[in-house]
Amino acid sequence: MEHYCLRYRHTAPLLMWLDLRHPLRPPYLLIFSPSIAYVRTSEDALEYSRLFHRLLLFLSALPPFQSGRLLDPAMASRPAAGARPGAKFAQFKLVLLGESAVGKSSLVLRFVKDQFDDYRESTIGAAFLTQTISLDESTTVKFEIWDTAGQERYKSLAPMYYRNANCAVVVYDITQASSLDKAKSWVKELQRQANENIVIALAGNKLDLVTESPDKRAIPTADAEAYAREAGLLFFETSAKSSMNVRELFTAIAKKLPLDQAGPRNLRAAPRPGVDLRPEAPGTQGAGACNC
Amino acid sequence: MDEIAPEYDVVVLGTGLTECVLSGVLSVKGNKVLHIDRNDHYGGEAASVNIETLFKKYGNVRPGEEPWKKYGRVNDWNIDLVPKLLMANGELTNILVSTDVTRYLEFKQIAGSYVQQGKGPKATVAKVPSDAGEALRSSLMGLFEKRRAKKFLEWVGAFKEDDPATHQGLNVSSCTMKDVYDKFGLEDNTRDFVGHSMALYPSDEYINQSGQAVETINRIRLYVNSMARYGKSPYIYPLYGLGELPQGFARLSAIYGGTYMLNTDIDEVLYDGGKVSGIKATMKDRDDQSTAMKFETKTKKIIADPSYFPGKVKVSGYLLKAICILKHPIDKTDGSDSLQLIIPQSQVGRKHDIYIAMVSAAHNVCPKGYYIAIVSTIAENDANHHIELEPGFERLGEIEEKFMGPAIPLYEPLDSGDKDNIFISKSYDSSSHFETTTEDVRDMYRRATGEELVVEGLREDQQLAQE
Repeated sequence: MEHYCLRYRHTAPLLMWLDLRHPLRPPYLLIFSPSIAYVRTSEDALEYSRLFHRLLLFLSALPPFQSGRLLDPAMASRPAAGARPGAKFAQFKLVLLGESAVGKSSLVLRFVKDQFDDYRESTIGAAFLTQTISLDESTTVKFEIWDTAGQERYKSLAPMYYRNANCAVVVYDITQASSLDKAKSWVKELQRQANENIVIALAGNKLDLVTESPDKRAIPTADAEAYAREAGLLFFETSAKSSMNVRELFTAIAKKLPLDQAGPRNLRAAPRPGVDLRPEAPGTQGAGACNC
Repeated sequence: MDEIAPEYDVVVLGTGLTECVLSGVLSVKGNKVLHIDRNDHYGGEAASVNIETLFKKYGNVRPGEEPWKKYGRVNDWNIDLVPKLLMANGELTNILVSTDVTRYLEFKQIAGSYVQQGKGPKATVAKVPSDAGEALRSSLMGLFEKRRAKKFLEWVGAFKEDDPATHQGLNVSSCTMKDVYDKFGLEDNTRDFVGHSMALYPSDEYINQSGQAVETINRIRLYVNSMARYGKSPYIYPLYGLGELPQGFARLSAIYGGTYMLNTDIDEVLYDGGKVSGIKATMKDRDDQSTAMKFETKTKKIIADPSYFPGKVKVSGYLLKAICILKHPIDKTDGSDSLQLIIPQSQVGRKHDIYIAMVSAAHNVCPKGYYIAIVSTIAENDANHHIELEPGFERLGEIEEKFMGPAIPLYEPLDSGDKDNIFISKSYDSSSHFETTTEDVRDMYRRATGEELVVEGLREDQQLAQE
């Protein structure tokens, strides 16, 4: 299934054209604003290109047409809101925080790829992962997960990292006494830098070590739990290695996110407000051509 | 605290855009990069700051007063220190797309591109025509001149440097732009807006330089193609301000193993046989100065902004800049929420153009109802800088707050860096876009690595690393 977004000054002619040809079958057309239309074509790639080509030809014949400049294949890969009647789809940015080596990346790796690596080096190369959770038949939550990329090591995280984060997982290591204090200072930092209504979960990682030898535990569950309750955080003790509570952690976050009141920023199924920079998008001009 | 590695391939000093792009590209290419800034924030001279920081930076504060309080939440403001916009079809856009840094950023169009004609109360402001068709409808020209301008723009559109048939008999490699204008019989006013608001030359020097015609044509084409990309203006702008750009490239660098240390002073640069061999530095603690961490590490190369090596740079000119907070859009610009407005030098009796770049709440840089306009030009006198910018202030109307420091020196390196392996960038110049910045990035990459920078394909490498 392909999804395309068209930006057009007037949507009325588009609607008419589509209604005439395929009133109920693809391409579907969703109108998000007076100038943005969302086109969904059939599964058949050939048919898609044929239809789309015709659509473009038709549009370019109209005087006010702006040559279909906003085509965003990235956005297209996301399921469209309203694809199924009553279906809810929301995308949220999740950031990870915590001291080095507490297992931030491992938690995400377990959640996203169901993998664990005992000798994982400090984060390199995996700093932007996504994972989708279905809460029920009709509700899907997609996490856009940002890893620190190691920038927290010397207190050099950029404001960009916190920007528009909807939720955060603050990780500590239950076998390291100092790591909970670090986690607390990250929570403070989040409250200072991030959205006011950010959902924060506290995760005490490396539960597997304690299950094997209970005397390794440095932070009692009750202590962390009391702090989490006081600060209004979700709380789980997890193991990225055994996958204990990992899924539960992310599901609890998804349930706490305000799906119903998600603004346009969160409901990313709607087109982003900005412009797509990709030069290859059909309908835009190649670098060499001139439009004089 | 983790140990700093004993050796890095490259140490980068300063987190301005130029340094961050280079740091990102070098990390992706497998270099071990240590990236340091003495400030506790990213961006250096290319940062975006909140309104409290701006008041303090420019000293517009009397003791005991907190004038920023009346401007709402301090962090709703992201005010650029550099008055620049991105050309939609420009090289920075290309680098952003090729490196996939676009996934961290969101861009929006700048709503309009305008040019002033005349001066004082009689001055008019018109939209810069974006193609031959718009030239015909423009109020900038009379009826016959419109046709000549249309012909000229059509010629520019069809021009191919290696196809003499498209040159209309002009010897483009040696002729001047004056020859070209003469051939099409363009009036002075038309030359003015073509040269200044489309080719974006800050002065009239280009007109009589022989061999400058092709460059001028390419500049006009960049403008026209950028314009054609999204429709309203040739410019795009990142939500939350230009300061997001260096942060995005820093993140790219970090993902590929680059180490970041803000708030870190360079105590000493170490040399071995005239070439750089390492650094001594101190990472400060924001809250507790006693826990500062001193360290030393080896490196083969240093990339730095001019402020880290004042002895290795010279001043090439002075930029005048005033950051103005408004509560209204600029008059005669159709209420645009963002724009560039150029006041060509000839219209106001100067040698260099005055630029106005304005953004607003539409770009998440200030609360609703406010507008941030930066008026800038190249200084022509040693004093009375306020008067030099006056035609720009006239355009803005009532100004809520004006931040204007002394003239800003523009630095460039004295040497290429091949002797000591210290490669220094240029200051952000007076141009309205980032084309000269990306030229500097390419030049520095060439000097530092001996190779041409090819950004195309970097993106594929990145996807490989992420899978």
